[in-house]
Amino acid sequence: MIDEFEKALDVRIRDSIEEIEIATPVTFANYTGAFNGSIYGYEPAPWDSVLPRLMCMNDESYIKGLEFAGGFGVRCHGYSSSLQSGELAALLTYKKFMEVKGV
Amino acid sequence: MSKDKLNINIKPLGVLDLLTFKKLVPYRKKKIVEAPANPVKETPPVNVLAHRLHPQRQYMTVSEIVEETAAARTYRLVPDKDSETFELAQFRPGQYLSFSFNIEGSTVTRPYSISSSPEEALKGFYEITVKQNEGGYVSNFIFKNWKPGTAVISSGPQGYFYHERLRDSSKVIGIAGGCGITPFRSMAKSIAEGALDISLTLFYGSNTINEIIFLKEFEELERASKGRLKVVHVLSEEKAEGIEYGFITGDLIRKHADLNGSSVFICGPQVMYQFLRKEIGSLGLRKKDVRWELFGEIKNVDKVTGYPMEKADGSFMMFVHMDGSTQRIPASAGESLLTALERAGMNPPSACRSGACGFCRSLLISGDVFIPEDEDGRRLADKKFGYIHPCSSFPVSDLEIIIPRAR
Ligand code: FES
Repeated sequence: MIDEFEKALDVRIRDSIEEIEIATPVTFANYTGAFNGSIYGYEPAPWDSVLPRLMCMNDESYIKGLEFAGGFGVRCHGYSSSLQSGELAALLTYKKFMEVKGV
Repeated sequence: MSKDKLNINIKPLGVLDLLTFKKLVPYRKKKIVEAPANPVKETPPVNVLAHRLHPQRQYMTVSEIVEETAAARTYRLVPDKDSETFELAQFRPGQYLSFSFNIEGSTVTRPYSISSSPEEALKGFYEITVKQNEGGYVSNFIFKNWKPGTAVISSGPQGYFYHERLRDSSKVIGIAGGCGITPFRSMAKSIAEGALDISLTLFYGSNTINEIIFLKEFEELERASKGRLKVVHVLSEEKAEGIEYGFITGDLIRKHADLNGSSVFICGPQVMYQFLRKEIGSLGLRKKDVRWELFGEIKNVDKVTGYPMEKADGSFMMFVHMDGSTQRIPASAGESLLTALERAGMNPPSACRSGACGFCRSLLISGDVFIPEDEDGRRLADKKFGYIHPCSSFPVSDLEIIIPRAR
C-alpha cells in the first residue's frame, strides 16, 4: 500500500512514518471479541438478510426498550449499515420513550 | 444461433418480485423454528487465533534460575499445563509481560521485558531477568519467593518497544542502563538466530564490571551474529581495560556508531533518562528515530517540572467505584493512584504502569491530579472528558473515580 501510494503520487512517505500499526481481523477479535474479528458484521444468508430482518423487526422485539445497533443488527453488515442502525436504534428508542410518556 | 437461445422469456417484473417479498417473512420464520436450540459452542477460528496471540493471562512455572550477577537473576518460565496454559504467546523482541503478584494481601502488577527470543518461546519458554533493587518491593519478593516450581501469572506480550521495519531503520543503536539490557538481549538473540534482520550497536552502561549482566553471553552473541551485533560497555564507577569509562554521552555514541540514518532505542532507569534526554537532544535526531522504553511509575514525583510543591506532603481520601461497589481509601501525594488502590487491597486493571497502555484508564469524577507530561499517554478525547491513567496520576486533592473493568 505504501509502495503504491508513493508511486501514484510520486512522493516519499516511508521516511516520515512516525508510528505505524497494522491491524487485522485478529486484532479486532482481540480488542472487541467480535465474531471472527468482523466488527461490522458478517455476510448474512439470503433468508436472514436486510429485507427479512427489517420486515420482521417488530415481531422480533422481545424486550421492551432494547434496540440493537451495529453490523449484526437489522441493517446487517457493512460500515454504513452499522452507522445507520445506530441512528435507527436511537429513533426507535425515542419513539417508544415518547409513547410511554403519552406524547 | 439456436432457436432455444433466442427464446428469452422476460419475467413479468413486479408480480414475481412481490411474490418473493411475500415469502420472505414466512420463510425466515420457518428457518428460525427449524434451527436447533443448541448454543454455538465452537469458538470461531479468528477468535481462537486472537486468544493464542493475545492471551489475557498466561500461567507458568519457574523452571530454572540463573545468577547473572550478585543482584540479577534470570528466571526461565514454562507453561503450567495444570492451569491450562499449553503454549506461550509469540511476541516481538523488546516486548514485556505484566506479572501479577500477591504480596501481603495486596495484588500488584509489574512489567518485565522478555529477555529471551521469540524462537525460544516456540521451544516452550520465556526468560525474564530481574535486578534486585534496594527497597524494591516486588524485586525483593521475587528474589525471596521464586524457586523452581513456583507458579506465576502474567499477561500476554505487551508494549511497543520493538523494531518495526516499516518505521525504523535497519541500522539500530541501542542504549541500555542496568536492567534495561533485557529487551536488547531478546533482540540480540533474535539477530543471532537470523530472525531479526537488523544490525545493532549496543551501548550498555553499568556501574562496575561485576555488575554487567550477560557479559560473556553478549560476547558469544556478537560472534554468532557475524558482525551485525556490536556491544560497547561503559562503566561509570571503575576503569577497566578495553571498556569505556564514564556515561553514555553523545560524543561516545558518535565515536562508536554511525548516527546517520539510524534508529535509536533506549531502555534504562529513570535517572539515566534524565541525563540522556539532554545528550540525545544534542545529536539532532528526528523524533521518529528515537524510541524510549517505558520505565514504570515515576519516582520522586515532586522533582518533576510543574509539580505543585505545596501538595508534596499531602494525604488525601479517594472514593473509588469499581466492580459495582464503592470504597473510601487513603492516597498520599507521592504515590500514584494505582499504588494507592493496590495498597488498599483492590485489584484494578494495569499493565505498563507508565501511562501508556491505557489498561488502567479510569474516569475522574471530582478532585485534581498531577500528571507528569512525559507519562501522559492519554488521547485528546480522554483528556477532554476527564479520563485519567491512575498509574501516572498523583493526587493533589480528595478524589472520586470510577474504574471500569473490561473483562
Ligand atoms: S497501566 Fe498502562 S496506562 Fe496505566
